[in-house]
Amino acid sequence: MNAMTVNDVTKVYGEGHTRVRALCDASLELHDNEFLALLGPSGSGKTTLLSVIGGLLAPTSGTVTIGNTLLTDLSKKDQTRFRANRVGFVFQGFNLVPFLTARENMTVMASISDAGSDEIGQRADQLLDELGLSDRSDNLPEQLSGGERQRVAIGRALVTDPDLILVDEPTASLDTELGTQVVKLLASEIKSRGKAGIMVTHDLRMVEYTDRTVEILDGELQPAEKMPLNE
Amino acid sequence: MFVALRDLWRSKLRFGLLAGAIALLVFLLLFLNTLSATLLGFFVGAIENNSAEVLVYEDTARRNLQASRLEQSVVGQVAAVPGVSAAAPIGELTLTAEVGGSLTDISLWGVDLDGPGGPEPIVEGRSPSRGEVVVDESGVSEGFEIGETVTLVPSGTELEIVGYVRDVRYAVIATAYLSFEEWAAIYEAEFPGTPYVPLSLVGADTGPGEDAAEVGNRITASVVGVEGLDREAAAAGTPGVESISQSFALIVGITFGIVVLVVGFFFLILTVQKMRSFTTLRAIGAGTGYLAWSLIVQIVILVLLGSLLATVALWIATLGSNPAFPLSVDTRLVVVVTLAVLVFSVLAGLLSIRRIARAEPAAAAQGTN
Amino acid sequence: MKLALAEIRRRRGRWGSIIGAVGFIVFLVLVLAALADGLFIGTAGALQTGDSDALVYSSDGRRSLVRSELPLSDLAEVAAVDGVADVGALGVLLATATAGGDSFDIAVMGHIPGHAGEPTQLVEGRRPAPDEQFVAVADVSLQDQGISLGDSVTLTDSSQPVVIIGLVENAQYLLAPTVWVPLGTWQAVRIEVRPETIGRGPVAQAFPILLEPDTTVASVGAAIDEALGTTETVSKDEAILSLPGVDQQQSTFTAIIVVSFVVVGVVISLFFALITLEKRGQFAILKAIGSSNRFLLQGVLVQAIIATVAGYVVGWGLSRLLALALPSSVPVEFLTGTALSLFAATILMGAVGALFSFRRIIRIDPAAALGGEA
Repeated sequence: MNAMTVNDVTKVYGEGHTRVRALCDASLELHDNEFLALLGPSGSGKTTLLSVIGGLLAPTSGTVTIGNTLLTDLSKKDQTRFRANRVGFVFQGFNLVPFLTARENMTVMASISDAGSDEIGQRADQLLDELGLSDRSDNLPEQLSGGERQRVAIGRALVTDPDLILVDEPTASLDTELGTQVVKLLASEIKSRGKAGIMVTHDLRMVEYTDRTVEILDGELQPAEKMPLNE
Repeated sequence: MFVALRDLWRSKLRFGLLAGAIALLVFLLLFLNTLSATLLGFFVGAIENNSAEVLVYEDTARRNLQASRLEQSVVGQVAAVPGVSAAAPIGELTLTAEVGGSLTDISLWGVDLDGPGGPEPIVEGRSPSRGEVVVDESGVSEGFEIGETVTLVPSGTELEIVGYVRDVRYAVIATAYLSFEEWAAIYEAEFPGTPYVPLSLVGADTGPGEDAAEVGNRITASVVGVEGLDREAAAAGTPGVESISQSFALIVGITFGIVVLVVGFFFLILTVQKMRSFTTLRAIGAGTGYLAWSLIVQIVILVLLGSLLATVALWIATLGSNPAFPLSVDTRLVVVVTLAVLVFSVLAGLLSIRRIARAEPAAAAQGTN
Repeated sequence: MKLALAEIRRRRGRWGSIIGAVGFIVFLVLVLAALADGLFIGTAGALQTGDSDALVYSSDGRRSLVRSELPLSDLAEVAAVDGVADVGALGVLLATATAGGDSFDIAVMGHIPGHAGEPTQLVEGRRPAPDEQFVAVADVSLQDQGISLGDSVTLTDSSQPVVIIGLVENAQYLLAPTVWVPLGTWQAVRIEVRPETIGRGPVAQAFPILLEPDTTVASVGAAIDEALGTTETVSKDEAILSLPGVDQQQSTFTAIIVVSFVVVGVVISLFFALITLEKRGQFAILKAIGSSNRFLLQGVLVQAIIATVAGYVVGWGLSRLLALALPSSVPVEFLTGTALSLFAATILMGAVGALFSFRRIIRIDPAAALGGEA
């Protein structure tokens, strides 16, 4: 069983002249404990694919399976619940809640998911430590640097111990050194915890930290799958 | 201007809600003003809108019409005071009357029909002759219509209604005007054996260029036992009215303050929401003046729109008014209220602009969160 | 819930302003209501205060205290009617009073001490003894004229002065300073002020009656009117509405208060709708990380309730402060019933407003939280 399977997913927007095909018959398999890089230029549909995988967008046709759950078959409500408990999302814009501290941005998942607040609290503290944020845990996002905010976002994605981690352009607003640090961190968290993850990026330098790379161009996944340089 | 209008158009719901809130609050203000004016008019319309410019009371009556009693000779004494061009007797009597088959109260005013205190302007019908009266037109709801006969109880005196006057109601009851001589005869019939027929007031007109209040003071000084007042002072001094006017003034004042505060506050909230766009605009070179101007344009459009809606709502409310409680849209009031709300809202909005001015344009470049 | 509370705690400026705005709006309506209630009590207190269920007028008086006249000899007959537990007498006279060199308007209420209709809220001093004359129980409004217990007040120029032996509350007639004198004193003063009434004999203007338990005004009133043939008996509420100007005043104020309630209620709703709408971006993020609509809804409701409750308390406090600052000539009365209904209305309307925007929010697409390209 794969960690995640995308089966012939197509996503079409609009009708007639304004018809836009963001994704076309995309199929993808993500194996257990695999960290996949989804590589493509702007407008290639990679964020769309990520949204479909995470249940944020419904595909026009095709299915998505995460673990043994057919995500696309679930009701919207169940998809939301699934997302809260089983998927961790790191957004391009971090999207932290501006009036919550670093720690609270993680522990808020206790109210949103089914996990208990003690459990989440413990994990939050552990993650804060691992991510090097222990002495910034009571700071608000506006008091944190870009890199620190990114790490909080990663922490939030991991705090519910989800099976699947989805990361959208994690290095977009960071300098090379910081960006590399962040991707290395993501890779180690994902691998060490036995999780699977997909990272969307256009930065070629980052693929060395992943297990596998898949390219996407104009809504279509490219057939050639490069083998990893390490591992 | 462009940015301001585009912004309004794009967020129709948000600004629609705001315009709606403004409309409601302005409506409240207009409604209160209108209602209080009508109510007070009911109490002292006859005094406030009396055709005599100066009203002379018995001084011990302390501006209470019903306690004021003067002898006929006072009329001549008042007429002799410099600045008085004419003086006439005014008598008021509250009686029971039968009209259109039912009994009701009536305030009967005996006046010099062509002199100070006479019923004018007559808005419909004609001036009364013997056996006739004119009534305040709000009396229509109690059955006082032109052509109807008013029968006084218990004397049985009959009077025919031949005309209407407006906004001269007294003490909330139906008010009628007739000649002083007839009124005096009615008084004697009502109170047989009365030592004399007392006047309630002496009405006086002033000569050209004379101030009514000053002439009133002169009368007070030169004639024994009286107090001369201009109409406003007389109306304000009527017992009970002071409390009601003060209460209403308070109500209107507080409402106005609140309306302005709330409108200003709404705009403050919206500005804070748009900080990001504002800083972006500043980053691309928009000056604070430009942004301030945009905001003011939005405030003006919304307040005007809200006021328009409020006026329409008020107009609809007046459709439900009846002669018993007439409501009308006072254009002057609408204009004054709109301007006042506009001015203060813009001032409140300028507070928001201070926030924009303080925002760092460089923050826009940082993009995310 | 924690998220909702955290937002309030961390955005104190914003929520403080929101609470303030709600507070001001509530303050407005509370003051309006208090002024209206104050005017009512000031106008009709004289009738309201008496321990009575109904008033008997002469039928030609048509429910006007001033026009009605009943011979005192009728008292016994009224008392004898089945269902009448007690009967008193009332007469009113508007006059000028002098005390300590100053003149002022005064309402003189004639009554029979110890019987229905006498002012019930005695705050100081005592009531007149059965045969005492030329003493008075004064409404506390007389204190504005500098009059206190033990003072002498002269009613009209030449009559014997009355001594104030007691003070009562909420017993004013038509917003005038009011004194309550025994009926005999009232008669004497009346003749002086209105000499034309000299030929009328011992009269009163209305008889307040207290009914036996389990009887109705309608039935006992009808019995009285039939027995005497010259009377009209009405309930106390109807009598109050027949006081000059009261009906118009009440209608005006009811209209004002109803409109104010509605306007304020809708404005509060619009307010919260606006605030909730503004949080679209935030809600998108929360939805993206898996918040259910229900979770967000609870948060929004909790915030609306907290803000409206706090706002109400602020508004209530402000209105009390204003009452203290008002000159005593402005009648003001804070009734609990009004305060409670406004409280309920405020909270309800805040919740409604928050929910109104929520329909839109349910439709927010969490995918909108993703920045960058689609």
